[in-house]
Amino acid sequence: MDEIQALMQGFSVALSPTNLGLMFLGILLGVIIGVLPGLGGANGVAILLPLTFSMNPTSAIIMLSCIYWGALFGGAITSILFNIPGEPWSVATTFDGYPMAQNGQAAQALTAAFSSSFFGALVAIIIITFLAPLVAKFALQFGPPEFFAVQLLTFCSFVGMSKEPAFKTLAAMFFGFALAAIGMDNVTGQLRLTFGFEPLIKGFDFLIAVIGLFGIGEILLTMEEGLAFRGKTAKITPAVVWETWKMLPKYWKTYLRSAAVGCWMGITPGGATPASFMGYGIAKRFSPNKDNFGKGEIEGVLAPETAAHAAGTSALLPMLTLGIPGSPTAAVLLGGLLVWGLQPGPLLFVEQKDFVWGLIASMYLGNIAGLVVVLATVPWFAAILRIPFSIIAPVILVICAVGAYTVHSSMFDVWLMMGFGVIGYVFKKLQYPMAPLVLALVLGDMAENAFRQSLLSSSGNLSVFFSNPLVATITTVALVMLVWPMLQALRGATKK
Amino acid sequence: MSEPAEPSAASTRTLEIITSACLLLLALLIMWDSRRIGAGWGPSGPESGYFPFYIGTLMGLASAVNLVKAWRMSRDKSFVSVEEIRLVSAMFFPALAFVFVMQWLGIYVSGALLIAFFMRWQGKFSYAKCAAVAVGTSLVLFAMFEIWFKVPLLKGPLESLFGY
Repeated sequence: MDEIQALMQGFSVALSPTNLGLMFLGILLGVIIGVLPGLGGANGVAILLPLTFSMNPTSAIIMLSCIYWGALFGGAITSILFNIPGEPWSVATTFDGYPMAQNGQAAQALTAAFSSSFFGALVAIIIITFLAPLVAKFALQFGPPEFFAVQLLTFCSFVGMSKEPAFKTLAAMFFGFALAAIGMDNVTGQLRLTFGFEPLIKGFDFLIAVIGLFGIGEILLTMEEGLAFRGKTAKITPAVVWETWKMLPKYWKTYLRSAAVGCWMGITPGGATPASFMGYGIAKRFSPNKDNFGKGEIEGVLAPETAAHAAGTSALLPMLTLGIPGSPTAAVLLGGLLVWGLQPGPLLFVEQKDFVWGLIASMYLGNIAGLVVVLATVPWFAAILRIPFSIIAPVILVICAVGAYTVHSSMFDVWLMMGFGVIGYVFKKLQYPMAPLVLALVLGDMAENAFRQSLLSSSGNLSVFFSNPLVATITTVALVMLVWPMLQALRGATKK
Repeated sequence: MSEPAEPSAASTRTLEIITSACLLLLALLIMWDSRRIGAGWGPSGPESGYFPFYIGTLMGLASAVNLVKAWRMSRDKSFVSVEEIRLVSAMFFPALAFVFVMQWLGIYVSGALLIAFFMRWQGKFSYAKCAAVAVGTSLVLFAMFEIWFKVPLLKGPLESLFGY
């Protein structure tokens, strides 16, 4: 088993004292980010990314991916104790988590949530361990047409799977592509869409977009709700943990279903949020305690948490193997790879073994560390939420501004961040999805290059995307994913 | 979603129309600029505007559909109530002022001012508390960025007074 051997090698990389320390630091920061409104996985990692520019890439990605795990864990705390989802993927957790807390079962709900998150992540990591090398090996044969077809599939499946209206998903996505095209064309050196405005020459940095859209936009939305946090307290004792753990194995079917849904939604870029809702819905349909859902059923906590974590984790599989991230946070991590001088894609598994397997090993360790940290420190994090929003809001705003400024030490970026904040606020309220916008902004140049190279090889004939069985299949699946919901949307529009 | 009793500041339909119209205009702009720099097939393959032209076209089509759909929406649904827009402005305009002032005072000083101002105005905290949190946050950020990670941020006259 090559994978096992490589994984052991990875553990030896990840287990160095520095990397272990960064792992715990990442988890702690991540949980704080997950708990605070306005800071989430994607923009939290985006703000901290510039701090890692000078670090060794393996250590950097270990810390940043641990922030991501921490944020995934942290979202559950606010959902259960305060009925406020700290992250979009923990909305489904509030349905039964908060009623449980009101019934005095906060500690059980939290233990179940954390343990389920851990289980979901574990399944996803095992899948990554064994599937990623195969996918990478397979993808080594890909040429530009295949890569473009896979990217097409990624973007089309956004349209097919998002719960937002199809044409809004498309508009948001092409907006992202358009932003990516701004600046110097890296093939001909020609300036595009700059209109003589100098700061635009270097193009839009997606980190700024992420900080603005998710950070500033979220603060404005939270302000609008006029938040006063009122929540339950919880202290988790070892006895409660033990009692809850004894109950969990009997839900093994729910676990497996949720983990499967989550992994599927993570690898195809459905993302953690729809996965958590699907996990909840499926558990409800099959559960014998159907009627108790929404009133504090433990199964209603573990199903969405398992699915969300499985999706959040498996989103890294396409990022590592194909260079196509499955979620906005994975997209930010991908941006990190580029900054550290690593080319994401199948070659990573050949040329950067230490990096890839160090990261995969750190996923195992990071999630164990995460489980321990959150179980031990919940009361502490719950206290953060008691800080009034009139303190938290300006502090987060300053942190976002700092994050935006550090990317290129440019004042223009800070203004841009404010602009993206307004766009984020309006888009969120009008159900324009932001994940495809961010992914298009990240992948735009890569997609364009693959597209151009494909067309060069075929002298401009689009049939190159159907030139062999592999690329033809991917393209066809992509087009079906794209056209299906649009036909439905159009039919719905003409009916009205 | 706002309560029906609250007076609405703008309907969702208005915002939908504005948003899709803006995206449509942007799409037309992209198509025009791509044509300007060449969206066809040059001697060395696809020209610079080739891919963006497609993007602009598709974005325009999607936005046009959204615009038509928005036009047909009912006018009843509120996008934001008067009370909500007041709360959002209470954050947004101080934030704009913060970014504006930052150009002269640097991030640390303007950040502290924003925090102190907002805490006093919206949270009604005592002056001592406002000052403590504001200065504390800036000092922590300063230590983290300038000293620990050696990532220089925008600094103003106060920092240069201390030799930074």
